[in-house]
Amino acid sequence: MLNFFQARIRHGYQAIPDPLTVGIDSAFPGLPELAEDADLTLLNELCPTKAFEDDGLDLGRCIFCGLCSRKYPEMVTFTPNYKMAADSRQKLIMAPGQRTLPRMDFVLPRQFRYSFALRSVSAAGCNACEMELGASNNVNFDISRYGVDIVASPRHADALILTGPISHNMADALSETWHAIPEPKYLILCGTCAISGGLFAGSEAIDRAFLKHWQPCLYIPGCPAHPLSIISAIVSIMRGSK
Amino acid sequence: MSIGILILFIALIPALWKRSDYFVILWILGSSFLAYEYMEVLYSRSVQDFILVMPPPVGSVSIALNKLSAFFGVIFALGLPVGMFYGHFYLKEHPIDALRSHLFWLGVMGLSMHCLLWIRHSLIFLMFWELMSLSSFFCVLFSKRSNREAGLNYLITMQVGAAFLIAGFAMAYNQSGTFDFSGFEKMNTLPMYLILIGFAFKAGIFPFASWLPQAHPVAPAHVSGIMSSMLVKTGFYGILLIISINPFSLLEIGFFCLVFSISAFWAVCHLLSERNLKRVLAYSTVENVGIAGLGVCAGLLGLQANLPNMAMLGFTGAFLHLFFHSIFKAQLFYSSGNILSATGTLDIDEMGALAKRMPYTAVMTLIGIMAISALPLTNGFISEFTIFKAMFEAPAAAHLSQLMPGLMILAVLAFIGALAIIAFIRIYAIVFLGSPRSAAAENACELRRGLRLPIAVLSLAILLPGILPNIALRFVKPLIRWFGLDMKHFAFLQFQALQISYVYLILLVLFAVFYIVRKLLVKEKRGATWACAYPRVTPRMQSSSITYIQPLAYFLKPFMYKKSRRVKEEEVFATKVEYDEQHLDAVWEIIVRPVSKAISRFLLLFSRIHNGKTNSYIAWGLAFLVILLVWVVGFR
Amino acid sequence: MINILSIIFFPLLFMGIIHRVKAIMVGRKGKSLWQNQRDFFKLLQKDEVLSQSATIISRMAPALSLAATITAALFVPFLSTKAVLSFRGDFILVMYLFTLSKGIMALAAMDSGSSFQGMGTSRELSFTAFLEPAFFLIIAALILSVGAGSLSAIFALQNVVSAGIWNVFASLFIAIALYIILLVESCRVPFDDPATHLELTMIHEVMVLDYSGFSLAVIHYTGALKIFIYASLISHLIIPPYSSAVWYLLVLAIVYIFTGVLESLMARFRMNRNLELVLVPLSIAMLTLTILLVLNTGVW
Repeated sequence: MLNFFQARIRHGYQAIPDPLTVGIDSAFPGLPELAEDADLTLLNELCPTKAFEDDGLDLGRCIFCGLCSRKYPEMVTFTPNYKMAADSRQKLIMAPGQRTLPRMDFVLPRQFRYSFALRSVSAAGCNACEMELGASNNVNFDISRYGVDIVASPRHADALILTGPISHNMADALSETWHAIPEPKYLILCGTCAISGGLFAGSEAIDRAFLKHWQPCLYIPGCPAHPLSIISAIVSIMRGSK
Repeated sequence: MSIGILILFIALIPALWKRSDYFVILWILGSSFLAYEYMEVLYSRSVQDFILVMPPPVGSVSIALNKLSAFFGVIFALGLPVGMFYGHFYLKEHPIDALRSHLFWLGVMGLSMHCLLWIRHSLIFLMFWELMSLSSFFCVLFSKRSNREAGLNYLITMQVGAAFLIAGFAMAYNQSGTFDFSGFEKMNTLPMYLILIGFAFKAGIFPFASWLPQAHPVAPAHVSGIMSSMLVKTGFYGILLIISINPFSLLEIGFFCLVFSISAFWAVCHLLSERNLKRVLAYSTVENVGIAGLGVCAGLLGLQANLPNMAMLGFTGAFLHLFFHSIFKAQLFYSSGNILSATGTLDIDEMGALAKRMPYTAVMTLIGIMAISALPLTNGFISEFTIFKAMFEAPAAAHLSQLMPGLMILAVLAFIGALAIIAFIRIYAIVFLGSPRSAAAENACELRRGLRLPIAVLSLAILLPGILPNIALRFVKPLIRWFGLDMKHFAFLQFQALQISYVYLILLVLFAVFYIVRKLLVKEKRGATWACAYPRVTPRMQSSSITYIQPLAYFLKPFMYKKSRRVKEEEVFATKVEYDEQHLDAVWEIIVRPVSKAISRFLLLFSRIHNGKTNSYIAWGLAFLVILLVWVVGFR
Repeated sequence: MINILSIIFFPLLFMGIIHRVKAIMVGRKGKSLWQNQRDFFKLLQKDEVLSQSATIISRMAPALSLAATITAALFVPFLSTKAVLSFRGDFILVMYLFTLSKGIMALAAMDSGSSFQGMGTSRELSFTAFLEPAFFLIIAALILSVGAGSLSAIFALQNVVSAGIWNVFASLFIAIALYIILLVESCRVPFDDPATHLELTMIHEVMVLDYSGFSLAVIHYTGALKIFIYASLISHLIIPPYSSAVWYLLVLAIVYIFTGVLESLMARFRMNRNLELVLVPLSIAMLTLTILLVLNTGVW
């Protein structure tokens, strides 16, 4: 027991004071910026997930590998801006010259302002997003200070946070979990695989029919989504983005 | 004589003509008259008194009712007609060939139970006692071959008990010179204990209670209900008869405490591991008799330690418990009869989700379960509350040796109460809740009204004294006064009962408020049970009856006598694994069975005498008579 | 009355103390003190999803459980030492009201027919089977030393400080036994981990696995009220009679803080060890009773 207190005193207070405004290392690949004259077809050939197909860089398909920014640094740069969430699929597309994502209109009803329970479903991804989601509840990032909690039973949850591209085997389980959540309920997609299938898009092993029926309210891009992205995204739908 | 008894006697006539409806009507009529007479004896001072003069050696037989008999009489007069009513409809569901004899013996059993209370002469009492055992034996048989072994066990055990009674009565006659019950005052130790043991056989007290879990499950529901709720009470009536006129020393009281505690504890341990619904209820009868006995012990302790409050509370609790037990035990047995009629089985591991299929029975059984677990709002709570209050008066005792038994009973009672709650929640949950475990449970449906009405009446009788305990207390008051216990404290108890009623009012109001708020505010949706989205959930994945008590089995292992059978192939991936567990009655298996086997083997030695020739039997009889003559008369 | 206001406002607030203590012990920012109340109000506005096999028992159980716990709380002294209701021998009713609340929740848990429920219910009921006799023996011991009749009088009059060294020991033991009873009944570490809902620690949490919305809010509040009742009893046991409410609040806060510290330092014990530990209040109660018997009845 004394070891515990020794360690505690030595570690000190490790929580980040304000995760919503803290700065991040400049090497972090956050929000990408396209130059005005960026050649989208050239970049698209390079991109593993073909994220440049629509008129801009689709954050829902980008896996933040950095191939494009290393080959054509004048066309694409990844800024260390971790606030990348959007409340509709269209808003995730960064047009050339766009410097920020459009404002989120969606805000949760008043009762969720200080208390929001998430149920995490891990639908056959690489587990990096799950680890980051778990990390967002650790001592450093600590999303629980905003009243967000990850619960085990979907009956206790308000939202389902989905990570992973949804394989065949997980499709039924995901649907059952969703139906077990009481109203009002929300769907949050976390990570590129959840939003578009990521690297696995188009594979025969995945079954994304679930997302055709149910409209998500929040998209958090990233591969994996950084805890700070997750926290800022969830808090902005709870309390409204400034 | 008594009109009621006369009508009950006449009721035997339609029984012989297989007219069970007139039989029931006459029973209800007769019981109402009897109830009126008993109440008259209880509340007024008149004691019905006849003296029947019969030739010696019987002498004069006094037929009278004192307050104790009247109290038990009311219990019988209220419970028997309900039982007969239920039996009428039950027999319609499960018809048998020998209806005539079954109804006849049913009538005789009820009649002899009532007559027992009037008789104050030991020989005639014994006669009716034997009549009661015999008639209940025939009722248990129910013309089924499979009931034969249990029925014979029951009959033989009752005869052994009667043997003790005969011995005790004979010694009491030797000592006091009269057959009348007044000769039982201040008996010597040996006859008193013989009589107590004889009555203990009937009342179901460890170690004489092994017949209960064997006879009750095989008997039809109305018979087991009547037996469990009233027949065993006749045994307790006998015990109370002896206790009310004999003093006991502290050592003896401590010994009684021990016996009742062990009896209740033994019963609870078996309760927890049983799969047959009626066996559970039978063991529960033993446990409740133990609890009533502990109440009596508390009363005796109070008298011994000069604590009038404790004495009054102890005896009141015991009487209330006997009265309430007969109500909720009968209700539960009739419910189990309904379950048997609906599903065809008594094995709880084959039931499940009956609440959706038999909603009325489910709700009423819930009330019965709450009563037997002594949860608030039911009458079971009132009687256990009174007994607990008696125990908590113990710290006022002056001497340590008077205090210790009281505290010991307290701990034992609380523990047994907790275990009983676990056991009955287990029963209710596995039978009524969850999903059906077999096709029989799936196809169950609610039964006809005739089978539900007696249970509804009894449920009302559970809730009414539960919420307004003063009703029952007013009923017990004359008996307490007759026992010579403290009436000032009784008035205080009645006042506290009123306070409890107010508390219940608050509880019910709060409950209604919360429930109505929920009903108004909340929109419900139905979904599948959350099982972590496992796709192939089957009903067999629910808890079974054994898994439910597994944590408790950790403590109770030394008290449970278990035989298990395990079959497992020795392969790495075994395809055949079987495990079977049987919890057996230690007293029966270790003591009674070997003894009876030894007796049979000993008697087989005489098999050469059974040669079928009448002449040799007469010769043997003659030889025995000659030897007897020589022994008695002596060589002169 | 003050006690009724305490029943309404304090339980969830004091549960917040446990969260804060755990957060401080680990060095994180943690949930705020008001988090439980915020969760409660959010849950009140959610709908419910009920299992196919659920009967009316699932619907009425949280309401009955809460009604029983609040009725029991009316007998307990909180901020003011006079409880709302009291009569001689009311502790029996209190204990049985707790049992009613636990029993009906156990039945409701078995209602949904999943395999988790039976496991959790059986464990929870087995643990608490031994607490009833322990509680009654504790009350008997206190009656022996104080001589009063009703729950509030016993605890309000109990004096630790004066009346001899053995009485101090006895009161200390009783406080420890009551604290263990608190831990078991409110399902905290080391008997059950309220934070996880995994199979390893599924005892109380599994009984509420199938509840949502209003019922869940009610269940959380009932749990908080139960721990508040036991903590109040311990607090009144320790502080001298007729002292001011400030001392009561202080000791109450210390009890909660201690629970939080215990939860941060320990993990849940192995199930068999838990079963052994549950006997501890009973043995402490018997020990204390013996001490007080020897002292008061003057045999030796």
